[in-house]
Amino acid sequence: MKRYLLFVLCFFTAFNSSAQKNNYNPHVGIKEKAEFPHAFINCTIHQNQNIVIEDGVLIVMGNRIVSVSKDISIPKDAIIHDLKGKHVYPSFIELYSDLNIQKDATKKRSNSPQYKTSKEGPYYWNEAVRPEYNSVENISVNYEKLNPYLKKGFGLVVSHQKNGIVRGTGSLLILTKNDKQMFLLDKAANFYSFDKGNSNQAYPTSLMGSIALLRQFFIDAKWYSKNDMQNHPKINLSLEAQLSNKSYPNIFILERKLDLFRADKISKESNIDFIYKGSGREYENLSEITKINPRIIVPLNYPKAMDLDNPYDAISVSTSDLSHWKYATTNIATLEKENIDFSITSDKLKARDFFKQIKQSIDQGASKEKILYSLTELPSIWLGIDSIYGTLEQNKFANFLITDKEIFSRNSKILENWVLGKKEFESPNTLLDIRGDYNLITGNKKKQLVISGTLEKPNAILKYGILKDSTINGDIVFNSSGDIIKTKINKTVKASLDYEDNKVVLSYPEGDNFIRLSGNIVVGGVKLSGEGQDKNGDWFKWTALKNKTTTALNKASEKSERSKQVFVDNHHLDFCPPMQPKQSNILFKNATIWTADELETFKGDLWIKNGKIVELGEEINTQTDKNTTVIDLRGKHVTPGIIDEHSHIAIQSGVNEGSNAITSEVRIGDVINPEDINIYRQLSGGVTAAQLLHGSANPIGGQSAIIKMRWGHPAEKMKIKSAPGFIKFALGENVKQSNWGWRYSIRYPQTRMGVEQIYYDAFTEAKEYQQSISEYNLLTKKEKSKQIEPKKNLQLDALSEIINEKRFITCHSYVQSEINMLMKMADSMGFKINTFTHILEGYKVADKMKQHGAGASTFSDWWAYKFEVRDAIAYNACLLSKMGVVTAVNSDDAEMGRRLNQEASKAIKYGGCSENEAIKLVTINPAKLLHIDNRTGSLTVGKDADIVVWNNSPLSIYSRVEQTYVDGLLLYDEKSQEKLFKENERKRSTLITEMIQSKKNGFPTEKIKPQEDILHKCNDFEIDE
Amino acid sequence: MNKFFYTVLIIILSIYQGFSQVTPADVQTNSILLYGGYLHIGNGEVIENSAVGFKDGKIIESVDIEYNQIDTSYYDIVINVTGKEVYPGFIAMNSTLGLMEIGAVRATKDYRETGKFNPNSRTLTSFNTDSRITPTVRSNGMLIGQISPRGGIVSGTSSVMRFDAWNWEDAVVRADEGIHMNWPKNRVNNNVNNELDIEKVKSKVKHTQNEIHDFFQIAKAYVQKNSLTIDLRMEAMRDLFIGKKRLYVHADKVSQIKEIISFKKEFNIEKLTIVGGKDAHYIPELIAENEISMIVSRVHSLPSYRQSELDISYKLPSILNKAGVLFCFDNQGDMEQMQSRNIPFLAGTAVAYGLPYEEAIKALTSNCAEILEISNYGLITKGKSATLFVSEGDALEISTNKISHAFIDGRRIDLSNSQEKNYLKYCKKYGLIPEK
Repeated sequence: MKRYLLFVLCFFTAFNSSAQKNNYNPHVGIKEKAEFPHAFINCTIHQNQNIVIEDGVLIVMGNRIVSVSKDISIPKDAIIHDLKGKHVYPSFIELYSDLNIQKDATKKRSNSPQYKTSKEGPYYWNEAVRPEYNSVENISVNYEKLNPYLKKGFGLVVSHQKNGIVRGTGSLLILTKNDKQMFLLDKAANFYSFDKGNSNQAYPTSLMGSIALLRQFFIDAKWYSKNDMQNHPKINLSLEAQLSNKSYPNIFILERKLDLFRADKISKESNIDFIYKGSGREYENLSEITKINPRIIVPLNYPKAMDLDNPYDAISVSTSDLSHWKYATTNIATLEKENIDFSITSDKLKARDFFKQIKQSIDQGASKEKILYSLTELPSIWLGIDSIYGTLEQNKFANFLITDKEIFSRNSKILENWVLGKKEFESPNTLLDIRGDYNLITGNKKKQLVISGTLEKPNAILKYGILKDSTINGDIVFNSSGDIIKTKINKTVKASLDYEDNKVVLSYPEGDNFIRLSGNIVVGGVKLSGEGQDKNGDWFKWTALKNKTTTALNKASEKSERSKQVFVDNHHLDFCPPMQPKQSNILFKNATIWTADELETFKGDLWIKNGKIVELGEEINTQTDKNTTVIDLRGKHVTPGIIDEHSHIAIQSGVNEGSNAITSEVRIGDVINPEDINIYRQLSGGVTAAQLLHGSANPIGGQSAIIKMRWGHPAEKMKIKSAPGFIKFALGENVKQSNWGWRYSIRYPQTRMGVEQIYYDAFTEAKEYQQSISEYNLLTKKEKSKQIEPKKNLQLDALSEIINEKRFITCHSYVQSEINMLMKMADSMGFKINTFTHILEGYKVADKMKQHGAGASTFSDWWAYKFEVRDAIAYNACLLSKMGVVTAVNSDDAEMGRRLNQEASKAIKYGGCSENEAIKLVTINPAKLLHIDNRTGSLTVGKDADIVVWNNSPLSIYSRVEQTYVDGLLLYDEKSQEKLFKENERKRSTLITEMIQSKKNGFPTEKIKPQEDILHKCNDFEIDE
Repeated sequence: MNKFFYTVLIIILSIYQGFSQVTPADVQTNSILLYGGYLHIGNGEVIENSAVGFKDGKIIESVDIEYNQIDTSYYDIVINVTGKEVYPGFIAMNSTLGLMEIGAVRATKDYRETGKFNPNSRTLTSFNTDSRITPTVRSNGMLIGQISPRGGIVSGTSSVMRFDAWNWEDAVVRADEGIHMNWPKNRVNNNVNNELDIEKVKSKVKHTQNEIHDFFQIAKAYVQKNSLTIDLRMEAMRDLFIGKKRLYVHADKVSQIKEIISFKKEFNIEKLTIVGGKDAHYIPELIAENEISMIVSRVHSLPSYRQSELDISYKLPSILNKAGVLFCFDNQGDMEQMQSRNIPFLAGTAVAYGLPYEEAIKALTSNCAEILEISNYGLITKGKSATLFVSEGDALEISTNKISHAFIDGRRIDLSNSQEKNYLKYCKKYGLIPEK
């Protein structure tokens, strides 16, 4: 930090002197040498969010503030600006922008996937990681582009290249058009994101890949820094840049709201403190966010109401989008209430909308002071420039705004934006609203003048009555005295209207004449008056007085778009009540109890207490325990919670890191989406736990997450803490890219031969890696200092865990040859294959699997979708089970996951398994395969109360789940689901009605955003099949 | 009594192993009586103690043995099916069975022709009677099927085929019975939720609707006159306008269904069936009023929307039934060819969620026959084709769907399949006793 401050100070001095005296730009014409102080008087000066000086005087000399005070003598040579009734504020700082940065060109995609970086030279191995990039070197200034920011009130903008995962440095631009030194800081902050941008390099394809890449990069940088030049024979420019930019603030750009928690994990691991550019949905997960207490840059692009007049269109809009429309504006107020530091970005907003959104936030309870602070002082503190910017104080730079009234009040306006003591922006003269109905009097004629249309471009019509001879059937009608009867008819003519400042020009036809009026707008737009000339060239006077009773203005702006709201927890989710159920002690009586252990199935009672199963028996007496609720389940069935060994639900942004052949560094656990409705749907099918697996795009895929369906809880709480690590492997057609299309034919392996070799290669390397670490650890301190420490490698760490039997393999597999191969490979490396998943030809090598100790997790009856599954048989599960292989039936499908009980019963149909064997296929057996059988998978005393109540035999097609308990919590209840559904529909319909109302009130709308969920199977790559 | 009966042990399992196809059955020469079974007639009625006799491929009696004298001696073969259940052969609607062998192998795919308007593509001649998948499907009770094309706007023409034949000519039950088309839909990926893309999609949909409109107008004009130049596509459309072909329109969303209803009126299309209809639960009465029948696609599917009732797909058949919509099932979607064998269980789930059992059987049999206009099939009543099967237990229940006998037009079909052969082969290797 010290170094950084020094830098700023140096800059400050240099800046100051050069701007005033040492102007080395050659001049054209006569030089302007005289400099005068500016005195802004009679204004309300908002020095910072707290200190306000009424009738103050601000004196600016050159680019700096000389004084801010109430009573000071104004220098005699000062240029006086009388700002009576006006307000002065420090100007804003924008942190999230790519202003005046030359956009990276879109790279041309080659015919084959690009596995290596295309950037030549000593840089990081991944194109999306480029800490060596400096925005300052890629600046392309266009003064025009400064205007929108100046108009919004900004004086400083941090601009960075919005491209890539490690984006390099952004620079701090001063919004000046008058000074050739427009950078305040050439390097203001480092930028990061999870978005790989325009990189064509295959890796990463997924969010979890981006996370792994970033983690490894920080590890690499740390390792690089530890080794001094002596030990360090080689230089990498990317890592060098990362180290030398270490002291700048780090800004992390997030796309999805849950990315905040992901980035926070990286922050803790790498010891880097980030400022996050958030999603604007922070209020939805507030309680989790307060635990992190992050610094956030929040966007203000609040959604508009959707156009939902067609009720069938409204069906397709997600509850989350409906809810966000209503509550988005509460975000800032909520953050303020929780004392979370936030700054504001005007990204994607025009000046008008920017202030409109701020006002909406204030309506929801955000304070004006905090908003001012978040736009001025706080960002300058974050950037380390608070000694020279951010408030209006003596000696600080003269960056300030002049507004007509309090800046965040209704219809306020920025009149001027001064940057470095120069007026960089001045609002065009306020357009008077001249719309309305007037009585136009020209000479002795009176007409009605109607001005309507937009404020900027009004149009005018004239209405007047003329008398005309009455006619009946073409004959002129006379009265009794012989005079022609005149009838009055209304006439409307279009007039052309020109209007600028306070001048107005109006012309219109009148009979054969063409009347031209020219005049001024007086009395604030209530009266127009001037002179006109007729066809004969005669001049006359005219006036038009506004008819006060008819002001047909759009009143929408007077109303607030949204009434004051308080976000109710989980309001954005379907079927997630705001209050979580409490654990209760329950005695289930008289049920058919399928224990899935030695007790098999019996009629009797089951007692759960404090989330655990405490007793099973034919009759249990709980009278001693008054807190136990008794539920009579006569005619009902009770089973352990169903466990899906192979699921891809609740995974965000990519189930496959489908790039490299080995990606053991990526973790599904990083990208769990606890808000996926499929979690609740699984509960409705009796599923209480599942392994969320990486896909099958590569021989060594990513690490899985083993979760319980704790609906309504955050991602970390879904994970089963005691479960060991697992990892996905895959064999066959998917990993050799057989069905990926012609582009994909260069990645090793392309044959089953290569698949074998890539495993030998990977594990040989992992062993060498382990060896090098243990050798290094044996060295003395002195010896260590002379050697380069082996670099931590996340990929090899995971493989080492496998070798050390700390991480277990679930391997996607089909044909017998490859199954056999993998077992032999594992044997030779000294570990076991824990589970073969899919394993459709497992029945052909059941004896070998039994011998090796591998388990099987299979589909009940899938086949014929690929060549390698042509020999799949529906008898597989039962046959494997009979051969003594621990066998599970899994889903790999969000829909089938909730019918695994049906799938298990196929083992009875195909192969004649007993009912007890069948129920084990989806309960205790998958629990064993996942090493969580010590706490779930069967109804055994001491295990977690993961329990399902069925209306019928669980193996019957006619059975439905009535209740699902996880850890003794009732998380799905068929009866209350009906109520929950109705409540949810009511909630939606309220939101929809409010949106429609908003539209009726004249607020802008946007087109509907239909929801369409992406469901994953492990075959999902870029190509559909 | 026993001397009048003799039970025939049918050796279904072929002794030879390997992957040779099961052999199509011979024409029925012996008269057969199924005695004592629980009969589901297919019209909503049952006979708990039934006798079903058939000869030369036709049912000659289907009666209650409590009230009728059965002359068992009349039959060459009497099979005692007491305790078992007898069903009309189930019909696989909107199926691509026989048009694809292996999903990932393009060479085996024959259901999707290129281009937008292909009414003249016929599934009939591409139907592979030697598919290895079909035997695994019929051994679950699916005995005939509507083989339908996919893709484009007008996909092509479907035919009804029996699942046991030497060649496609043998297999035809009803040739070129209907035309399939896909109604355009606003399909917006949630990755592209900016307005521009939605607008693009919408204008594309509108464009497709116009294309459909134009195509049908031309077709209608074409069939009015006898043109000298023959347009194959228009010729294929001819029967549609005179009620000889049915139009199957694939659509899920409410807005689509409403558009289809006005389309039906505009072009005066007499016979129209909606395929899919996922969101039909919003407007079941409207569908019934307009005399539109429905093929409910894949009951085992997730709801359309996050906020939908969790089990709405399971309930849909029951909702349609209550509203009086004529409906049946298909299993369109992922792996739909092999999934045809699970169609009975889709019906089973529908029963669990409120559909009366015999209505579910109707939806697998006579409702299909009514839509397909194959009046000879779908019922076990006198005079109908002897296309039926015997299950050890409830055929909609997975664990008891064990088909012991199946007949297509009286021909007793081989119920073995390649999967079973592999099963037996490995049971033998491991010394396990196979269970049937």
